[in-house]
Amino acid sequence: MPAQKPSVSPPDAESFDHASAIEACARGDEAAFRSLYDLESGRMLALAMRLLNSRDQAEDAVHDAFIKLWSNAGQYRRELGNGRAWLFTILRYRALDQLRAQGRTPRGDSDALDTLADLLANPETAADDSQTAHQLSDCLGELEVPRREPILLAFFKGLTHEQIAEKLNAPLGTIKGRIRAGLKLLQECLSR
Amino acid sequence: MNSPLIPESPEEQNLLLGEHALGLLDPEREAEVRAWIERDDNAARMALRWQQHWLSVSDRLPPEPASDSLWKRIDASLVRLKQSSATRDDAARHDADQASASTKAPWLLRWLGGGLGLGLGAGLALALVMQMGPFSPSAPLEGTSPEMATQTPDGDAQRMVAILQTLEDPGTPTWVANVTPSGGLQLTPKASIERPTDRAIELWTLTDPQEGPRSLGLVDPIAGIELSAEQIGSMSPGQLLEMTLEPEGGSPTGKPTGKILAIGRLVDLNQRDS
Repeated sequence: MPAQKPSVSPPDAESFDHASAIEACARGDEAAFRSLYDLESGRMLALAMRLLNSRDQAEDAVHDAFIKLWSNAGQYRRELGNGRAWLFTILRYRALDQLRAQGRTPRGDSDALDTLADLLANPETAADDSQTAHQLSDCLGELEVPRREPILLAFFKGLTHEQIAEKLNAPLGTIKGRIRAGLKLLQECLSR
Repeated sequence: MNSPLIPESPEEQNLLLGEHALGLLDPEREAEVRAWIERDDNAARMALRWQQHWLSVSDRLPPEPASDSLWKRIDASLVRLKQSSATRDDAARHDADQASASTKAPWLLRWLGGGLGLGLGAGLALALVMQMGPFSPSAPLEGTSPEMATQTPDGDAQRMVAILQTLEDPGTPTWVANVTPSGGLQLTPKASIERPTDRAIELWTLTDPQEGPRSLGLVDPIAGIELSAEQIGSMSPGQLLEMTLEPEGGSPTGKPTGKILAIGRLVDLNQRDS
């Protein structure tokens, strides 16, 4: 394949047919593989950098995720869910496994929560808020801060219950309870 | 039937998968849940739904431009993956046609990419062993005791070694692998191997062409590695050993994906003696 410079911000990631592209990868279609890379590598890298706090490690995770995508494309079944979600699941597995291998030491970024709160509050940064009334981002905004904070720390920073408890200076049981309660409320909100 | 770690109630199952999507499960439960997702379509659906919901949040992060080298790395890994896959298919066909061990050499060379011009046969390996000295066919290799010999079923001692070389400089041994009396494998570095600090060196062997290369684990580039007989399984002359550069934690695919750092195959020194 020729080495072209990848586009960073895919203009139509939402309308792209990820499922068909993954199925094409399973048939050995390298152009489909490249299209997925062009469309998603920028957003995958952004998420991996949040989790791993290192560009090099994040690029490793994205590299590994795409190789896994190529190897396992035949296992994807569109009837089970969205192809883009499947691709990001591979990335999260890889990034979280990397964090575990490192002992998942929390990194010193005290303003992470503020930044994440800004992201949720600022509609201009949203990639696409158009389709459904109750996206998870909306539902998170409805949660009280004590329930939302630990959930965001887990999702964006890959912290464990214990690390979240330490970071927020709260008892472990309290944190576990808040996350469970928060997830229940999210479930209800998403099903409305 | 689900494991005791998987709740029965659909609502509890969905909550469990919500925690899984956040990466909050302890390793044991995480492994259970991943296995559950693999075997249960409904669990896979719920898990993908959580992931899809989270996309509406992670998409708010501004995309990060990848370095120019990232695509090149992915492309190179893909080429290697396809080569490995194609040669495994070749090997399966080849082995179906010809079961004799001696016919495996052409297949092995194809797995290595074919036409590399590497003399990986017993002759060159033995020549390299002898160059390394102190060595004679009746004397042990450095770091190897005369007792380091595997008893064959008929009672004859079988002494097997492998000299691993780089593809760039096949005349220079980088690692020596000795089969221990207990049937284990001891690998000792003979030259330094360059690797980025955030990459790992993974050791592979090839015994079953259907299975393809099998990982023997990560290798400490300074201390080497010693594997038990249980870890490595049975060994025989001609068996291939290979070290590749992989991401931290090892290959993500279970097969080699990175650059070959060193490669060689086991040689029965008794055959040389006789």
